[in-house]
Amino acid sequence: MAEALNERAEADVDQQLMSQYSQGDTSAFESLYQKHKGGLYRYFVRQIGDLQLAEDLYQETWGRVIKAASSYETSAKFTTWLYRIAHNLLIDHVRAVKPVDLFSEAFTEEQDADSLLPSDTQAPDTQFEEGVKAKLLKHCISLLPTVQKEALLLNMEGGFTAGGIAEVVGISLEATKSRIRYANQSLKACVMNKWQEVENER
Amino acid sequence: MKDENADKPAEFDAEIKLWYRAQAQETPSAELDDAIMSLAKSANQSKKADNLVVVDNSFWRRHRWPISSAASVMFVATLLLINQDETQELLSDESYAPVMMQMEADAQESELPVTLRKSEPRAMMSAPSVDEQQVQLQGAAQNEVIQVDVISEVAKDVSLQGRNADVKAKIKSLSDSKPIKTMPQRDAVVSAKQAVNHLESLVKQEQWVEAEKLVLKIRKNYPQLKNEDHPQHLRWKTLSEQVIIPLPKPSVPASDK
Repeated sequence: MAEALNERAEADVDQQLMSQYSQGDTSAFESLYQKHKGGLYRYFVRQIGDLQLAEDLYQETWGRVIKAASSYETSAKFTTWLYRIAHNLLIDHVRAVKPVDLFSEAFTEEQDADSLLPSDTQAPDTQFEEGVKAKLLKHCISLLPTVQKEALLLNMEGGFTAGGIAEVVGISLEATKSRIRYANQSLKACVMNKWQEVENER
Repeated sequence: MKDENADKPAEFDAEIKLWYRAQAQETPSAELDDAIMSLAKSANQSKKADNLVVVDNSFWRRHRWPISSAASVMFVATLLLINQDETQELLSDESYAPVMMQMEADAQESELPVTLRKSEPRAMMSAPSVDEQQVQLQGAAQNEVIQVDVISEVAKDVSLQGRNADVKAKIKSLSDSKPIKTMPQRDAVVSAKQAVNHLESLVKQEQWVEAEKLVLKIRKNYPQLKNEDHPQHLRWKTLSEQVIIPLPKPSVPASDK
């Protein structure tokens, strides 16, 4: 309940900042940008293997926000609007052209195992374990189907619930929930398997 | 096929969230931040510059339909007021008459005696059918005036010249008779030639009473026929002599000599 209220207050702040910017207050835009730049940036970078293309799309998204600031409807939640623009750009520029090749393949099986091997100088076991699992998760995320990966990033970076994700992506709530469940299950299984491999190598 | 995960909550595990947060958080470079911020500032400045020309808030632009409608109504009303006479003519039955008739009427009007034209205003000439009765009444009155004039003239001549009994009887019959049947004002407008033609036809049909009336009327209305240079003079003279026996010249009493 408190989380929902907090979320609502955040949305109100975003809308206020946006309306202030549309009235000519550049500092309002700066606040808005600082608040959302990291999440949006990672939304692109973690889905697209090409960093340059990811940055171009990121810049294009903010360019569209700036251009459409005067016509921004306060009834729409700002983050929903922002990520919908990003999603549409991603569809237009990446998926329609090269659906497979451009997506992140940051890790190969060989790289993964080597880079995750423990060194003797590392921190205590629990901290070490979390660090390794975080790296394993990154690898596992790259293996997820595109739609599940997007659902995860929208949840983690944008803070969207299943309903919000459905609104941004333009699919049904049930389909979104299904994607989240499958992604959750796949990631957990993938990380545990990889962790087991690491343990075995130790 | 039922989704086997349908009963599970649609959110990521806390563990996954924890591992995700533990990852290195990429952020855009400072150059990228600057580029976007400068884009935002320049867009804002250009928006301010655009706002200097406020076209949409113009009074004339906002109310362009009511203003243009009012102006159109005013224009049409002014035109109607200025051209009121023409409008009435257009609306009257006269406007349906053939052009040739109008031209003929104008020509005939120019041949009318001055007294007749003066007594018949232009408005009456072109009056619509609604006023026709009134016009006829006025025409009748006019004809009566003409008739009385003719009679008095003839009577004067008789008194001076000592007219004979035949002439007296004719005059008496004229004075006793009812006034000439009134015709519409428009029908009265005829040329001298037409009047003579009409007289000729009456003579041929031997309608002497009507012919006499017409002779007197022509004598009054077309004095130009007395002129020997007039093309209809000879016809007029012949016909009028056939109808009305010329009065003998007054004989001077012996006592006056």
